[in-house]
Amino acid sequence: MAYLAVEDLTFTYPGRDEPALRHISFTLEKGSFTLLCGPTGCGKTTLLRRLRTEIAPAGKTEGRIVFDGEDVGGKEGVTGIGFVGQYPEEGIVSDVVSRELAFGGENLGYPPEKLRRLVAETANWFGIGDWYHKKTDTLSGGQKQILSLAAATVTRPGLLVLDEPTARLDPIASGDFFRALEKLNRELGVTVLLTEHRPEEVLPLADRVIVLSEDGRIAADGAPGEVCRYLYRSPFAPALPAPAYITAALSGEKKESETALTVRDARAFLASYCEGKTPARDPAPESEKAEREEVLHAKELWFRYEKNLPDVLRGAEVTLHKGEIFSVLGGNGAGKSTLLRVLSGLSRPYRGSESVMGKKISAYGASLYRGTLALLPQDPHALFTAETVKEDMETLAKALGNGAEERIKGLTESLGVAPLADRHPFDLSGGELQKCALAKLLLSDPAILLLDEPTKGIDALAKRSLGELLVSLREAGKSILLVTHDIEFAARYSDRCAFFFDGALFGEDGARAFFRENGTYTTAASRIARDLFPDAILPEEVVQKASRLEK
Amino acid sequence: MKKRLSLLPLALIPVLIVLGTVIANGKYLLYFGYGVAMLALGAFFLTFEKKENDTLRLVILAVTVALSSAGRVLFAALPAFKPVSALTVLAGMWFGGEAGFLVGALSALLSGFYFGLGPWLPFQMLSWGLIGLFAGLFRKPLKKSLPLLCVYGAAAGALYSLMMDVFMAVWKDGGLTAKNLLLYFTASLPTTAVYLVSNVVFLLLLRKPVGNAFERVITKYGMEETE
Amino acid sequence: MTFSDFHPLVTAAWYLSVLILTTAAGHPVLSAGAILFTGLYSLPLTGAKEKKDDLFFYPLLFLLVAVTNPLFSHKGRTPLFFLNDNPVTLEAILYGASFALTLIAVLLICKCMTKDSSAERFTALIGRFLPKTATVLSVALRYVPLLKRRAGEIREAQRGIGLVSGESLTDRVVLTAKNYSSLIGWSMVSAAESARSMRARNYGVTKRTSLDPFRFTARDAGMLILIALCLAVTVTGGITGALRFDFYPALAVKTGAITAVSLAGGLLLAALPMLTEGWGWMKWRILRSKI
Repeated sequence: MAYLAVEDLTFTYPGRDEPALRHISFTLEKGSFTLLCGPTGCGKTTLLRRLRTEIAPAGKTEGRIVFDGEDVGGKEGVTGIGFVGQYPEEGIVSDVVSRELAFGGENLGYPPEKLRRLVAETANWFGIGDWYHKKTDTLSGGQKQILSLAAATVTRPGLLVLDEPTARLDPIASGDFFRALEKLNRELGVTVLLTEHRPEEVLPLADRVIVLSEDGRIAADGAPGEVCRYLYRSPFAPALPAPAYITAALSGEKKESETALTVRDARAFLASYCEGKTPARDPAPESEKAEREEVLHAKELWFRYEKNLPDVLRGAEVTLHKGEIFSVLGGNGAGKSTLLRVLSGLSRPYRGSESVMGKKISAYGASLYRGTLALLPQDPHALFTAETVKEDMETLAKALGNGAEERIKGLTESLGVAPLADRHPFDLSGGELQKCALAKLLLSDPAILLLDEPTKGIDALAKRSLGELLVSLREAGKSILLVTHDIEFAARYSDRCAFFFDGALFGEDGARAFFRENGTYTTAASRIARDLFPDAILPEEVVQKASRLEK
Repeated sequence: MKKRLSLLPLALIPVLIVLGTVIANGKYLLYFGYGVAMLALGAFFLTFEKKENDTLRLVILAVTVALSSAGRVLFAALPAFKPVSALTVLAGMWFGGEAGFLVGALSALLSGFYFGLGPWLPFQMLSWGLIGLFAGLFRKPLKKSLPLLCVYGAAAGALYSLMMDVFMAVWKDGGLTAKNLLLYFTASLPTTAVYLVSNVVFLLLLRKPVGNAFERVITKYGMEETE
Repeated sequence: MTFSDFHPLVTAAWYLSVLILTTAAGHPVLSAGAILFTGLYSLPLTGAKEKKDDLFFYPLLFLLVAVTNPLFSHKGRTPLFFLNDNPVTLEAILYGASFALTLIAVLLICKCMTKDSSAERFTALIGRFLPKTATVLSVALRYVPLLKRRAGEIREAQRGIGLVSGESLTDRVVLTAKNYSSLIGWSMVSAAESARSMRARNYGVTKRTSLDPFRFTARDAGMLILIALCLAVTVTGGITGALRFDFYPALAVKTGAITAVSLAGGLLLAALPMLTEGWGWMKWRILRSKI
């Protein structure tokens, strides 16, 4: 008998004619690991939340949800289903780790002795015992999500439902999270159902993938390889991870060939695919030494937050040229955001100098942010203060003066955010909010844009459209410096890249050369094809080069 | 009517205070005061525990308490200019008297942990609680008229300051007389003035945006706006 | 072994009893003892700058209260001189001094309380009796640092797009208030998300239990009994009038064996944290010298 059976589920939000979910039917076996995916707005989150009545959105439900032999469609307190959401900050509700871990058990009225044992056991299993007396706010985002996962498992639910649990984490933290989740599934037999918009890490773990279409139906349901081949022929091909994309593209109609889900399998596939063929001669890589005008130049920046704290910047040198996209990559907590704060003049270095458009940064004062430079914060929520997008832009435009008000219309239209004008900023999706934030940034018509993790929490298609927007801004003559841990995004859209480590920039080079020279810190496509096509850093480049091989 | 039960003990406070000053003025008035404050707070929190409460409502109140504590830090550059009372009043106006009392009392407690606890804590909790409570009871006129809201804010500042004066007078001189009260009140006049002005300024600045934010959360999540 | 390693119940009991005792007795010997002992206890808890400030603040407070008391009170039999036709009496000055001692003792005790009874200890303490209030406090405590961080993010985000306040006070207040309102709006969205996280973990499904992260051990029980004993001795003394120390109309101080015993009880009570600290320090030295 199926552990969870969703039978002909249709869900309609109040006041809407069109259902958000239509005739969804699927079953999960005990111990299975299922990935649920689909474009933003397809109802993934609605479906996951509908599984627990307490957190179900308001609306009309038709059909049945049967969990462990019991209809739970309208039932509260189903302790067998645990839930982990995507917001590390909001998901944690206690001040100290011990309370957070005990929270679920306390709610179920477990006697203290029993609960103490469960908590001890869980903390130990996750290897987080030494956090026990820590304040939750001192944990990093990744640690907070691991804590949320641990807290959800203390009461031992048989099914874990996770809504984009790593959307706000960097790749290293998200890897840690999935290792913990995999261990739960493999070693304890916990059934897992999750959504994730960066599927490359989950696909190798999943034994099943369900795809929802934009109108809330099940579009595909099957083994990961099978679904990847289906997706390759859909508009969602760009969202496919590099191994799956490359193998699906090159295997063509051959049904029997397996779609690779890991870099290792894709390398093996590519090696056998290319065996006996000789690569077409590539033209020599173009020299990227052309002299260009510098719009921002920082020399020997040294910075620390307080006298007694260690240096965050240790002699960082940064140069941004006119009309380029420059990506600074690096892990979380390395100080990338600090670099942007210092570069944007919000914090002052204790040593070093910086010039913007050929003028000392200190000579600008507040006028720096009126037409010269603008900074996009990591969380775009921080930018919005009014109750509609439109009102917010108008307030800023008025404060800026200088004809900013006339720019609103053109900007909102060219960025495609005009239809969102009357919405509340906090009601927007991650991708929409990011675009509105960019529109707001562009009101002052700055020559230089500094962007802090612009792809955080947005899905593959939104990333594409953001990337294209950045490219069009570059074409319009803007110079863009972004810090990110999103390697694939940096590889696709930047002109130059550098690696931030130990307070300074390393390996600064043209994007292609940068990823070609990096051995580990590079794109999946580059790791797959580096022996055969060292210059290919994007999946479609690998596919193109491989298919041009001559026998 | 059952819903307002938790507020009943609080209505007895003025009666007790008058009674206390008459029969117990002198040496025991301080203990009497502590007794009344602790009883009132205890009764309030015990009844609050007994009630069914929506989770979202609890979290919103908790976050409002945190906001008023964080507000003390944000406005640290301006001494004595603190948004705590204003936020308590607004919470009372939008979420009801009980919520107002809770936000006021717990804000005082939390502030104590961050900025220093003192023997005045129960009285501080009670005064701020009452400021929120009455804002909730008079929510309709307060929402309608901005001048009235300002008057209420000013009165709340004065009341709060007066409470602290009474506390000092009782503690040190072992009783209340018109003369010592007047002396303390004059001595604390500058602080009182700052409380008064800052309450009014914050209510003027925050009423619209915060009111709208509270309104939004009430309508968007279908939260009940009862006490 | 430090005093704050005891169970929250024990530390709370100590703070409450010593506060009540010091205020209720109003006995200068007890107040002075409390100042001495808690002052010593607070030494490792306070920073260098704070110590310097305290050394300035408390004597000043003492003088201020002692000198100004005659303005509030004209009772007492021994007028020293007249000010605006009002007598300034010796008794009033002495009472002022004594009250100043009590006031400083209470302030010092409260300072130590703020230092070592963190809010989470308090929440753990009330969790069993007031579970809902404890939850509200716990969520609030979780949010305070988050909100401070976000307030900083908002301020910088606004500056980074050109919304800078003018230099004047009004401008600064208005801009800070604007950023604060925006923080409040953001927080309401966050609160909804947190409520979801709580409901997903079955908050409100049944009667809550409370897991106390601090264990109550035999040592805690021992300390609690010691506190109760000290309190009992001194309170008995107080009730029988052995702790009388009257200023008005003339200085009247009760002395004798019972007074001495009650005072000793009170002083021992006030010294408990300091003794614990000292004992822990010595034990550590001995242990280390054995290695």
